[in-house]
Amino acid sequence: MISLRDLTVSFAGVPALRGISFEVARGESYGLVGESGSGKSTILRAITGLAATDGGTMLVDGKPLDRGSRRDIAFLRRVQMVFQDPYGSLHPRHTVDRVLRESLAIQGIDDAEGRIAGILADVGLGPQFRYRYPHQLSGGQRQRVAIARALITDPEVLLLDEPTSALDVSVQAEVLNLLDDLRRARNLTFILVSHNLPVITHMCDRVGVVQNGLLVEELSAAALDRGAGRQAYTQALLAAASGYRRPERAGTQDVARTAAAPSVEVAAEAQLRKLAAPLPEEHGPALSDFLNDALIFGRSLR
Amino acid sequence: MTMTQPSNQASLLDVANLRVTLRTVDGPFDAVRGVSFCLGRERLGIVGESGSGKSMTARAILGLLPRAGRLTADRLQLGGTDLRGVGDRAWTRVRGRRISMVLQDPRHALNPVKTIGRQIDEVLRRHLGLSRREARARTLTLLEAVHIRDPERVYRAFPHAVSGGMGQRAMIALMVAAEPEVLIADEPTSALDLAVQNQVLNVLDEQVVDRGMGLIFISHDLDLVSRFCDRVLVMYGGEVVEELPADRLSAATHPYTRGLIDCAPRLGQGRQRFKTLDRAAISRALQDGPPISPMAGPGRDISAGAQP
Repeated sequence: MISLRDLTVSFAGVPALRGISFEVARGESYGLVGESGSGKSTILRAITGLAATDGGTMLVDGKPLDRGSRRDIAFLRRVQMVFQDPYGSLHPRHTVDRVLRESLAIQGIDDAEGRIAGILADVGLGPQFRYRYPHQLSGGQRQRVAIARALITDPEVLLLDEPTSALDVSVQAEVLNLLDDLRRARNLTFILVSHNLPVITHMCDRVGVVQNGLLVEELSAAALDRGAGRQAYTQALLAAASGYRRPERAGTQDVARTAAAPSVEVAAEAQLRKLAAPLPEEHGPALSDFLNDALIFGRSLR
Repeated sequence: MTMTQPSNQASLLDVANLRVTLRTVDGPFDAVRGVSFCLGRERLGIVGESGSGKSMTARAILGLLPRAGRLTADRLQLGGTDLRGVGDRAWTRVRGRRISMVLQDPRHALNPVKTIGRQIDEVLRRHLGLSRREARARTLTLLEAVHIRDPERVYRAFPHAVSGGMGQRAMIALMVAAEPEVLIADEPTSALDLAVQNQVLNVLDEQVVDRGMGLIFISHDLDLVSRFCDRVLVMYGGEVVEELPADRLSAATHPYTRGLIDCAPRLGQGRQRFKTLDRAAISRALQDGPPISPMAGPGRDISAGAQP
């Protein structure tokens, strides 16, 4: 269904993907794991045209994709994406109904009434949610709306970029179960990006491990679940996923400085630094400098 | 719910029957409903979902409630200071000096237009009265203490130019600069990669072990809290529903705690459906009033009331 060969992408001269190749069969659920800055999200962005590619080929259902950001409407009907942040990916001043209706209008699909009611039911939202605004929904409900928006045009491929990492663990479980049910019911092809190994092993058939813009290992999700990665990097990710371990501190504090899994720490830090440096930062309104001043200097909020 | 004593020595912070009521368009909403605990020189975890009242508890202790919020407590004592009666001016000698807080995202919490070094210097000069030169030397030591390899570079860097893990360690350096007795860390590692997360946890751990600070560690990640903390309070609908020693979390009896443990994805389970929370059973266990959905509570957007 999806075939990538030697895909390369760079941002302002900094390579983000350095030759990625893999294939995903129709109806398969493929996972991409790696740390922040490894390039795993960039792969999805390249497929949907949100990141222009420098080289390599991308085929969807045998048809080659444009290297730039041009994707025609027919493509977007077949391939859809769900993003991490359900707060940022829905228009704050559009109701759920309007968000869903817009997709249908763009694709020239009629029977909006029936389809909107149907998809809301499919993602587990009652009709009472139809005319709400995003701020009237919880994080889990917003992500359900984002899934409904992606699925309302009946795509064949769903690209999921950390779809549950902004959610509570309890809500994550519900949303992941929903995605799994929808995939089976609609025979969808998934590419699921997550830094959370157990999420991937629960949801996928096969997994690609991405490090520094390279696909360093491909293995079955069952093998990853057993801890059977061949590459050192995969093993380091598995070690990190086994949870926090308090460093041994035999009376002194020095032991703490040589904490577990230094290789992955160093790699992660280097990648993060590289990626974080040249990018301009957004400053969200959630925690203002004002609040921070209050925390540091005790200034009152009033 | 019987043990409210800290696992170790005298208490730094004593909270009894803390309640926070928010004025909302639908009438008053009780975001925190009678929370009590004592904090010693230890790592105390508070876990719960969004809207369970854990962050609101932290903000109440720090006197940073949104304008629509009202606090009552039988006791709210930081050492010898009754935090209930602290006025605006007096807070400037408490907050940031004796008790401070690390937030989830350092890139939002640090001032974007000042270098990291200057922000830490400012704390040292204001709270400890150090000279410019003394402050700089101490800041570099602090940056080193939080395991930043190149403190000189980070000192001169603006927050946007460092990684998330580095920013969070700089944030911790900033918040512990005045050597507070108590630090509240609200989801301090949720935005970080696992490996970087461990580094940040180690830095927090050192503050507790080496300096005897009391740490309140707020997280939605029960697994992490059970590994990192000494004691865990589990919050649901503004109440503490269960309190456990962290290493005995597997012995939790409350259906909400059990539900949270069960719905977390783990390796070695193969490909299977996730267990989900049985909210009806939880409300039955709470035995008071209608089911509370933590996701739907108006208390969840705590930042809204704090906008200038």
